[in-house]
Amino acid sequence: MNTAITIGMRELRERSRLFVIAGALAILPFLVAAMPNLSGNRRLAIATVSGIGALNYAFALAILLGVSIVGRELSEKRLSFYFARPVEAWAIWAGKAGAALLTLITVAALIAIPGWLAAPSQWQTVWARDNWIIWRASAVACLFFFLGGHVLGTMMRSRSVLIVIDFVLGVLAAAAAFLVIRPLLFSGAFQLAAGVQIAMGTALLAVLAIVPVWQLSRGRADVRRSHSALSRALWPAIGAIILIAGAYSAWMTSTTFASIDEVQHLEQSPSGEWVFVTGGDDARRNIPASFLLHTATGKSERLNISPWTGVEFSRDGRVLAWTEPAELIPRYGGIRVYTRALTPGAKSHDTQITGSLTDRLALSADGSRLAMLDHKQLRIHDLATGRLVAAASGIKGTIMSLFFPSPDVVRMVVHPRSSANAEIFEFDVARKKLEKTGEIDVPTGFTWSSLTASEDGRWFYLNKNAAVLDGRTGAVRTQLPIQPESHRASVMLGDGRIAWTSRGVLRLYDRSGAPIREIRLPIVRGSVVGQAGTSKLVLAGRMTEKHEASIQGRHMLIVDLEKGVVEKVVKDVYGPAMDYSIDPRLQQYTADATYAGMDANRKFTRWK
Amino acid sequence: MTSAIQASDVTVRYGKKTAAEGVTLSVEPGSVYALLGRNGSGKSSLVRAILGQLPVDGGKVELFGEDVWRHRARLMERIGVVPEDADAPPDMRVRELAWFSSRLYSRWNQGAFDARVSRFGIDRNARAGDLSKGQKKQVSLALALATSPELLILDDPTLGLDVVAKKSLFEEVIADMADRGITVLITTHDLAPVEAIADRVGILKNGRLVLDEEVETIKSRFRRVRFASQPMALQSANLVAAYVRQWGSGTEAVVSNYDDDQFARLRDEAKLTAADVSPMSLEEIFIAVAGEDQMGGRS
Repeated sequence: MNTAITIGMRELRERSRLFVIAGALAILPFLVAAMPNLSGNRRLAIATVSGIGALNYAFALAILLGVSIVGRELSEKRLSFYFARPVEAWAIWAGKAGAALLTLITVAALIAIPGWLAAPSQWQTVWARDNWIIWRASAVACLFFFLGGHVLGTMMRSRSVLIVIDFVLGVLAAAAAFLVIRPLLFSGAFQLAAGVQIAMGTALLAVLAIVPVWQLSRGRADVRRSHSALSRALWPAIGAIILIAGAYSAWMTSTTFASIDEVQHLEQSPSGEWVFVTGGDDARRNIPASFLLHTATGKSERLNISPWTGVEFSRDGRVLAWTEPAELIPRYGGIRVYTRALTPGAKSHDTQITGSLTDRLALSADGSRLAMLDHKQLRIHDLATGRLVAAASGIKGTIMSLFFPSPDVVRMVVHPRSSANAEIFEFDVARKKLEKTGEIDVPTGFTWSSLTASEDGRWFYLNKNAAVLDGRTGAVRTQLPIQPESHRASVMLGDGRIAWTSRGVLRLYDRSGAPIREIRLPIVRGSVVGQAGTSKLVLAGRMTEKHEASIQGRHMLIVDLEKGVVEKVVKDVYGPAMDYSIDPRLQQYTADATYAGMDANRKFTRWK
Repeated sequence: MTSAIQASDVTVRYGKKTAAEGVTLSVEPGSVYALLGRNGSGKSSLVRAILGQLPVDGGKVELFGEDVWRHRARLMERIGVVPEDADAPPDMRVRELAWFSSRLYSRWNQGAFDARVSRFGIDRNARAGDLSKGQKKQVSLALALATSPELLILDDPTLGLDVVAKKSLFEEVIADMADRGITVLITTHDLAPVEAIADRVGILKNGRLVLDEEVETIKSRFRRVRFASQPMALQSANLVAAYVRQWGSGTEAVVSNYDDDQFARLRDEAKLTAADVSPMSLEEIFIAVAGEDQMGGRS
């Protein structure tokens, strides 16, 4: 240790000029503040300039010291000065690196402290936010600059062909590190991805701090051998970090359907034969993993869907569509559309259709076409071939509704930002003609989920105003005596009738507003989840008015509208989930459907 | 007794280039070993390997019976080094170099350092980078000797020095040898002073140690002979020529196994009318052994 300290002291003596420069820079903030044409708070100027000066000088020095601390002496063949003396390799590195870090801290302090003393409160305001995050991050950055600079300095100064190999390995390591993180990002595990990156960065810092000891110990005073020793220690160590992180990442994202401890999202095909399940495994920090389950065989397959997205079942139950990230780097961006025929053994089909994560998608009832609407353009694709069938532009605003009333017609409700009214558009796919067909007077608090439609799209029901509207023109046909209480407490059924659940009663109206019947429910608060066949409704509800996240106390109900009775009550279960898709039509299930849900422990379950 | 330096079958390579190959040499305690060789013969590489600064690609180097690669730091406590090129940080002042060394060596002799630096006439406040080449060497020697080394390694210590500086440098070494009986390994081109102090000489040629003998033995078996006959006459007398040159009908040769009786037989059998034998200096032997490629001779 004494040897390292001696070397450190020698290095510090050599750098005395740097401290003089730092002292001179410490005066700069006061000169700036003294400028006669400076407007504003002079103390703030002192605090700001002193901090910026300290950090930037430290950054620049970190790089310079890193590049030269050993590399310069190696290339000038002066490192033998140490190796011809009773000095261990670790002591050379510890002394030099310790002195360099002490230099960085000292010069930053020399520049920053006068400013701090002169303007303490302003300093606190500008630089001490979030527990000195700027300074802590800068300290880490300085470490990286210094240690990375040393590695690069050694490599570049050797002028050896090894540089090419290092470059290739560097690129491979960066790509591998990214591939380690990518699955976590695509799984939406951003915190974990950040944690893994921090762990990898910390391990890399440790490696960068330790490998120079190996470098000096094995390569000693010869620049090429030193480079070779450094590379031989560096890349296997980085490889080990990536391998460990990769194994961890792979394990964390290897949730199987069987290992799901907590179901997070459920959607099902009309019959319930196919279920899309997103869930997490407690041991894997509940990182979302999505599966398509074939309930008849119990087989599941993983779907790498885009984060925060679900799937689209065609209304005939034959096709499933979803999107996957299309870009190497996950961001608010590219997606690619995949489909799968809902028959056992079928494979996923890459449609080659690309778009953006913000695009709104709708499937035709038979699953043959896909409508994609972004803020510029509506595109209609043939899903089998991926071919663009038709496109139209000129639709601007918040998209509230998008669906195929028939295979050749796409209907949209769009709310322009500057307008009080939402606009109804109809696109004739065969004629490739876009037409604005009407407007809807938008009440305050209007949301896209406030709008439901009949199966053929001829009628809209706007539950905020409790009004039945013409599906093409938006003209109000009738008002209903309904006071909507919650999302999907009142909806339009496939044939245009209106169902409203309130305070333990389900009221049924025809589309002219005439009441049909009332049915007492064993729940206080309920929502309509879907329609089973033509005469039954699937409801989700709870026994109290209080909203609770827990599934305990939630009930699923099957209500026979024709008979006016509650046919089935399933307690402490939730699911299938309410449909939040852009299609305004109520989720349609077959009359004999089996339903998928989650039990009180959020485990996957089925009920009928 | 354990050798101060024991190099066994040492090979040093730089990529595909071989700097030293299969070198075996031994330096006994208290002796002075002169390692000679032309530029690029591999001397410095071998010295760096001996100092544990360069890994060997084959063989082994031991100092005082210990593997120098593994125990370099500990061994350097017992060794003083004057490098071929001054390697002290140029910003360091002479007194700082002494301060630095004083903290590393347990047997540091500040008085000896100060005395030598004074004798050399070097300003203790001068920076290493500002010193002349000769002064740098002198400071290096002062530093090396002030550590009270058991082994002193001088890598071309007189390179670039003027006559006066060379003389003072060797005087210091000789004085220290006389005072303490240290072991010395010296590589140099400056053979005259070495001849006076070396016990043993090794000559490196193209990375190979082609000669490794006591100085006196070498000097006794090397002779320059001139005679008025063809060189074949040497072979008939079993005399080995390290260097041969023909002039007219005469021959000049450096014989590496000279023997008075054999030469007399040669003179008789070849009926040489004119034959001359002269002893050789170390420098002449070195030129004959290490430099014949450029002199048109053959061994």
